[in-house]
Amino acid sequence: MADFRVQFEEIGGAFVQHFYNLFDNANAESRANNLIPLFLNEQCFQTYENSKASGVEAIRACLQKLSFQKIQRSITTVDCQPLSDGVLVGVMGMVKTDEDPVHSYSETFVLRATNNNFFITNHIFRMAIHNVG
Amino acid sequence: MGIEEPPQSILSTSKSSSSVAPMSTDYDYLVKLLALGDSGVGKTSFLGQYTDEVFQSKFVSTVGIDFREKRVIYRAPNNSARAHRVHLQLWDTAGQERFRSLTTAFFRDAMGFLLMFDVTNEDSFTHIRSWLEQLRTHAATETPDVVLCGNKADLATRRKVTEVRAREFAKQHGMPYFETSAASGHNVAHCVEKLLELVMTRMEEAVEKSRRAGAAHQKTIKRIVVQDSLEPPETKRSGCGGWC
Repeated sequence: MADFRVQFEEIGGAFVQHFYNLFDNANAESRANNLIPLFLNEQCFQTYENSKASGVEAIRACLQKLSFQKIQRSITTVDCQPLSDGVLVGVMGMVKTDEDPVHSYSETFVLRATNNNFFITNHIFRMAIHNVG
Repeated sequence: MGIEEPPQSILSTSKSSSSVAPMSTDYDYLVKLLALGDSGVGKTSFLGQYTDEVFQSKFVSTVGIDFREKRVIYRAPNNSARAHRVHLQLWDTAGQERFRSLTTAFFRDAMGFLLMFDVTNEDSFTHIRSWLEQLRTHAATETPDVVLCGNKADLATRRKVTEVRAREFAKQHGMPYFETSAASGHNVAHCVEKLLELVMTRMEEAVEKSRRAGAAHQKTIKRIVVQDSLEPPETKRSGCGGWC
């Protein structure tokens, strides 16, 4: 495989598109089933708002619990940086779940290259809701 | 229970405009109430039913709070001669409750809670326990004023939680219970008025207490000042460092 450190922008961009495609066009059950293969089986972590999970089964359970029926998304920026063995991806965007108001969010992925494939080792999602006022 | 709409003149500025006009600060008490409960139980519709004819809500996206305001005249049940002008602030979540991501700022200074479930949704009733825990953790007092609402009571054929069960649960936890319908408006105002009565009774007791203690004759809770305080978010950790 070509040196991914040259192509990290393409890899990160394509990953984000693929991930959100699977995330947004599914119900909770098929979302979990579709996304779990993207995580690195041996070691992976996810922080989705206040729910923290390590390992694919805990992450699956967390994804299955997401309660919205539909989700709409607008991506504002996708930032990528090369790592020694993968790619760091930072996303900023807006989501609307069901009839809720629109929220800004930030989402971070670490992708690790394994046998010519990339897998998620770290995933963090936070809505931009602050603790002031 | 004597709550009535304030005179038309107070409301006229807001009514004539589609945007939210600032209200005058001419009131005796500012009371902040929170609506809590699972996503989809009808909190927003409920508050809309209670206020919308008069005021639109304001969504503050940075803190994820949707709030509405309403002016009412409050008369204590045991002393209806004394009328208080109350400025009600009704705080609503903005969907983040589906991720259990309410910030502590949401709870700060809340005086009363409208705890809501959907009578056609068993889970929303089961989760009332955890909402109670959350509000007791974050509320300013150990025993906050709470009323329980079983919403969507108009959907009789789809009902999953019986009135008897809900009433029993409310009794165990010392809360009044109301069957409400945000769609028809049934019991909506009555429910808010009951909560306001609980809050006002508590405040008047506090005022009375401080008066008896020789404090200056003044209303203690005149206004809540919104502060720009930046407190670190509370992190809850279990034995595994929060990871599971």
